[in-house]
Amino acid sequence: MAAESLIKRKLTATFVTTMIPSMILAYLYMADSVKSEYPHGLGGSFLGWLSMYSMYIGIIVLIYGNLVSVGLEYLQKKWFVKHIWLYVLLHGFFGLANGWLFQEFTLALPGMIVALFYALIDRWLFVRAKVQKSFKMFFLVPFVICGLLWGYFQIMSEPYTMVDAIEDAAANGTVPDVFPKSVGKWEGQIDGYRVERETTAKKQEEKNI
Amino acid sequence: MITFTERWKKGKVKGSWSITYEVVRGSLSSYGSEGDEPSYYK
Repeated sequence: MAAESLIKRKLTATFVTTMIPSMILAYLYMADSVKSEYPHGLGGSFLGWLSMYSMYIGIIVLIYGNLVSVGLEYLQKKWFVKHIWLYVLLHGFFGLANGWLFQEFTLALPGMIVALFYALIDRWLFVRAKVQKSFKMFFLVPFVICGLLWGYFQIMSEPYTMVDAIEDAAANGTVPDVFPKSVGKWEGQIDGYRVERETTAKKQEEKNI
Repeated sequence: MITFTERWKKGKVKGSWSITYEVVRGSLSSYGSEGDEPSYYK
């Protein structure tokens, strides 16, 4: 059925067009954090920014993008069925409208890029559908890239260990330098006193800001 | 939470002193200390 395959194609294009740019934006946003002094819990932050970006982009593409695209496809079939380039270009033109929609000129260019990307994916899917090839890859690839980026950011965030914490406390606090540098006890004699110096550590609930 | 505790004893004289820090990555705050400094520090 034509309508069914159209909906399937547009929704798949919507998914890809939402995920890929969102991942790029989230990556760019996170790239600075990797260089920071205390990269911490970056995998989670990446997913957080990804979901925030994809929510915005997703809603715009889903409602505005698909409305425009279905309209353009109708016009293309009627008047310029051979001119795929015009179909793609018109998507880009309507993508520019994002700048006007949000009264923010800087959003016009990204809007256009996402729209052109959408049109290209849409045409690619169109060709694949004709030769009965499945769309599975279009869902799999964004998820795999997303997983890899999450893993990358997880690896880049160093865990904060007990030893790090003790070092920090000993280095920056007002504690004499004589205490054990790891959890443990020191015993000895000083001026006839039996002295016992103990370092203990207790892990608290992690506070994520 | 990192706690440094020092206990001392000489005959009947004994005492202890401790200081606790709350350490979060990149920041350190004193959580409080208790006891007296041992006399042999001076």
